[in-house]
Amino acid sequence: MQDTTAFLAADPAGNIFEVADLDVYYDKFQALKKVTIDIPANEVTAFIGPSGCGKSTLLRCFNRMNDLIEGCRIDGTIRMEGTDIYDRQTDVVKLRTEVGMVFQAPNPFPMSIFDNVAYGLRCQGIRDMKILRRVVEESLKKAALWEEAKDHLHRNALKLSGGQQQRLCIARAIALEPKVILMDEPTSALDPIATAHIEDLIEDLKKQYTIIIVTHSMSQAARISDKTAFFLLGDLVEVGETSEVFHVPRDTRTEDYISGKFG
Amino acid sequence: MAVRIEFQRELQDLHEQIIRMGAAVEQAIGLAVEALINLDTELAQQVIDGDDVIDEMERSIDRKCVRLIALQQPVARDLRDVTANLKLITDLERIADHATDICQAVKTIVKTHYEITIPHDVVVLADMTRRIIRAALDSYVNRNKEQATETIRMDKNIDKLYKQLKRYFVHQIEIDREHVATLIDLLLIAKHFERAGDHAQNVAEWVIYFIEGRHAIYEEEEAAHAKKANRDR
Repeated sequence: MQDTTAFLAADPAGNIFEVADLDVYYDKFQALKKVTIDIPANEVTAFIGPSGCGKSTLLRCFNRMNDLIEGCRIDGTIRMEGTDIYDRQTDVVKLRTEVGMVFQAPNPFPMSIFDNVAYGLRCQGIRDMKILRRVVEESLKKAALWEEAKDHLHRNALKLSGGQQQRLCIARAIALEPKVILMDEPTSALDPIATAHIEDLIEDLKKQYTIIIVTHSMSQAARISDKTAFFLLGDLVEVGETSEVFHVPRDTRTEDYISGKFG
Repeated sequence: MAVRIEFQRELQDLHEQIIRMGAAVEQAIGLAVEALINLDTELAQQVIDGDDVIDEMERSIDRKCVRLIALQQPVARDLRDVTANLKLITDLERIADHATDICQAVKTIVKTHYEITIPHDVVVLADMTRRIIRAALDSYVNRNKEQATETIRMDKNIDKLYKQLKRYFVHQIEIDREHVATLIDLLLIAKHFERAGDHAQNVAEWVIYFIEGRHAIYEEEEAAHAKKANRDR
């Protein structure tokens, strides 16, 4: 039987993250101001806004990547399934396993396709080749790369095309069975066909994972996300159903930005 | 910094094209009313001949809207603007078609050499239709929700008068078997005015959709449904 404490702690509305009154500072510069936002589980949430608006800062808060930045200070709370991830007792390594990240430029390690996907598992001490092979295959399948890669698993990952490399990075994140995948402009370095592959993949992945994506492409946010949040100068201006935000935005600043009237 | 200046200029150009089309449609209905009252077949033919021009205006605007969607990928207000325009030009074109149909009927009536006086209430209906079209176009030009709402209200009176006229013509057909064809033509003319009024109402609804992102008629229907469901409970 499921543990009642864990069950009751989970948000009844199905939010995986609940951010409340979040302020983020880089030394004296305030990058985010009193941001309150819920991130629903198993949906795609897009963060949009002009450069410097704070969207990537917030993204990096979800797996505490900002801890690595000197001078970064955080007030407010971020709860993941009811637990404060900035609590002193939080196991950050475990957090980053549960909250994977895919970056703007594909960054495969200079090793084989197989070793790239197995890397995280090996770091966790898993050496059993049977397990590794199974997880690598499953992860590559989920990342829609298996058919293209299955006959070349021991080829250097750097030989893959940009789009394939990005799918490999997604497979590498998936291998650790995360709950959330953070994506920071994952297609900005890719051509339209590779972009379409990643977008199709995101649609598939959300059945199993929560995806938060930062994108500069308004059309991409409109195409792939369920919820859209618009940030401006550190403020969360508006968050809502993507179909509403792109059809009838509530705030004129959102309207002007998505219509390309400034930015 | 203001950007997408070219897109905004193209949207402005689109509005001007629609206003010109609206003016042509308003004129067609106006001339159709005049042709009816004076049983003027020459004027009627002028309206019929002018319909091609309005059809071409619609096609040109249609092409422009599709091009703007394809190339500029508008969102939010701009998207509502382009889609509302794309829809309302169909209504404008249909109003012009009704003007043409009215003029065809006028020609048929005159051809029968029947000494006829157009019933007063048909003239009243014609005038109400002319006014609702003007009101719909004004609401479009001014992007004015109150004017659009008033336009929708005006259509209810047109529908009411048409229903009365229909009863009148059915009765006349029963008692005046000699002029059944002409009476049917007159009933059809009334129906064309009533339908033109419906299209004017649609234009006003598209104006409200553009302003608010919601369809006035749907919300009205939803409210009516909710009211009914409450009553039935």
